[in-house]
Amino acid sequence: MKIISIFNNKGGVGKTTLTYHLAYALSEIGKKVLLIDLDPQSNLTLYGLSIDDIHDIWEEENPFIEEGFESTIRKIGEKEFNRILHKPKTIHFLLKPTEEGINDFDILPPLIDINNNLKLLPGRLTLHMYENKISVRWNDSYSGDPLSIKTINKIRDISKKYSDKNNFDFVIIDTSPNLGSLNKVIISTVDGFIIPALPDMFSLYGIRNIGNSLKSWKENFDTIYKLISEEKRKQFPENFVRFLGYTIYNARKYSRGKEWDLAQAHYNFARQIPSTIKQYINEDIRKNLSEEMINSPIGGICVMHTHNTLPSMAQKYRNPMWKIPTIELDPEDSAPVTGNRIAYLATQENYKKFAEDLLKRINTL
Amino acid sequence: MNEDIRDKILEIFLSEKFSIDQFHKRLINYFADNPKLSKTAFPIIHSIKFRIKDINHLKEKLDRKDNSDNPITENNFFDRITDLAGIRILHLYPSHFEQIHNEIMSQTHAGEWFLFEPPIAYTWDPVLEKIFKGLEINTEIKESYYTSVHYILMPQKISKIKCEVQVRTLFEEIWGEIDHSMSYPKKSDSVSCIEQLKVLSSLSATGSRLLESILKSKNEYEFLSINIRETQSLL
Repeated sequence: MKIISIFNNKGGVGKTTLTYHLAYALSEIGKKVLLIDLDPQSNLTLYGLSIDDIHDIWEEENPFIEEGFESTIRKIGEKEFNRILHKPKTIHFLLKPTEEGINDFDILPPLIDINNNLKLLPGRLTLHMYENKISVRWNDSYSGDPLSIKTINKIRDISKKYSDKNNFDFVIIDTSPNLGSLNKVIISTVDGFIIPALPDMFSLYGIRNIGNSLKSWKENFDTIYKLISEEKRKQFPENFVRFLGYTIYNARKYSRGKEWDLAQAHYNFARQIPSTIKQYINEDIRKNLSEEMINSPIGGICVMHTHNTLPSMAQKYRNPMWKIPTIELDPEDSAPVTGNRIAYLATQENYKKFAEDLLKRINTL
Repeated sequence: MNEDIRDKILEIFLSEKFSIDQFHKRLINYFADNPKLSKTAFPIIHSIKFRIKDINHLKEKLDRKDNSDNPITENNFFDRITDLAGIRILHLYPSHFEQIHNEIMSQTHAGEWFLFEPPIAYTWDPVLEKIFKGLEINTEIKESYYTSVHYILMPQKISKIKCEVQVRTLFEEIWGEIDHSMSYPKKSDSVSCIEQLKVLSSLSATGSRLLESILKSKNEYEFLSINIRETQSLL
């Protein structure tokens, strides 16, 4: 099992659309995939659940999150608690006992089924509470404090527990676009990460920021490893995260343009991405990739060009773009979808190629 | 010492300073918060002093310790200068040393930290020498009347990060502080000062022994009065 994180320092690059479709494409190749929504905005969750369903899950969790596990269990009783644990929960609920510093419950709540091979662990807007604990406890990890080590590794532990039970090949984590302490522990403790980028100046700066942060995060982790016992070291991943590549996403297609069918302005920025990566992302976390893999976007131009309104349909109907023409639609959506039928269907092959290229890169880990 | 080598050494010291700091803090907290040693009504540990070596003192020490037969280099620096971080644990009664020693050793056996070399006791006092040897601590007789037990602790079996822990009584601390002020930066050659320091060291030893005796007398008195009360209640 490998844990992959999709991360960009800049929001609005279509990260969540990419994450969902990548996971779906992997599941169609026959890989078993778990999606974890660790972006408090929870957009990925809405690909798997209706607003009403996620609302119900959140509401049932509210007393646990707001008043804490111990007092809530005392109030509702063990039996009711047990019943609640047999219904889907958010990732924050699963992290909450660690946040409170109490023992974990033994049951793994069920996941949301997206298809046979693809499951979802929903997100929650309250994840900042866990992030606060990471910040507060971080310094204690230098002295080997067990709770702080647990807090850093809990997301990875949860991924492993679900994988042991469901035989997942991949866990894919969606993140928010900032470089705070939650993302510090997510990105540093997963196996590989992908940067989805737009061909603009912001993305180039984003890559610089990520590279600089990764460097200091790695130093922090190396310092912990110098100070703790072998036994405690085993609770951390063996390797620091490694880079799997970038994608250029949602760029305007310009068929008479340069290589990659991009308009000149976009092309100029896109071309600077590999050199920015080489300059700012330390060699030791990208040496698994060949020169060619660093230079070209994952899947080539497969997902490079704008999908127009297709992603919004995908989210509305909680299905990948390529399935939209084959499902029952609201009357007002029917005509525009039929008109773009070929474009919708073509996304399937493109995402398949994208997923296959990513698999090759994952093999370098 | 060659300035290039010295600069390189100072650079690697600074690059490890954060880690050394963290290990140092962890040990200080360990002793300060220890329920057996510090958190009792009459704590065994009276007080804790600590410091990270400052750059100027390190430069002086490098010059003092470096010699052509056995030069200090970037490669052996962390094994040659083992007191970059230091903690001094002060206690009142000499007999309490054993509990502090056992606590340090039990953490070593538990793999919480590691000894760079076996602990060493420095003393000139044959009575103390006997106690230290009884605990299987290597004992060195120091001409200078210095008395203290030194442990060099590391977070892992092999590590650049070290912290020297010194354990001594308050009376020994008094002697140590006065001796230090006489000997640094330059040893005083005043005969009367040297003589008086010797007297002070005997006084410190006597002081420690007097404390011990008071403690014993108090315990004996309490033991006896309980016995007397019990006997009376039986009659």
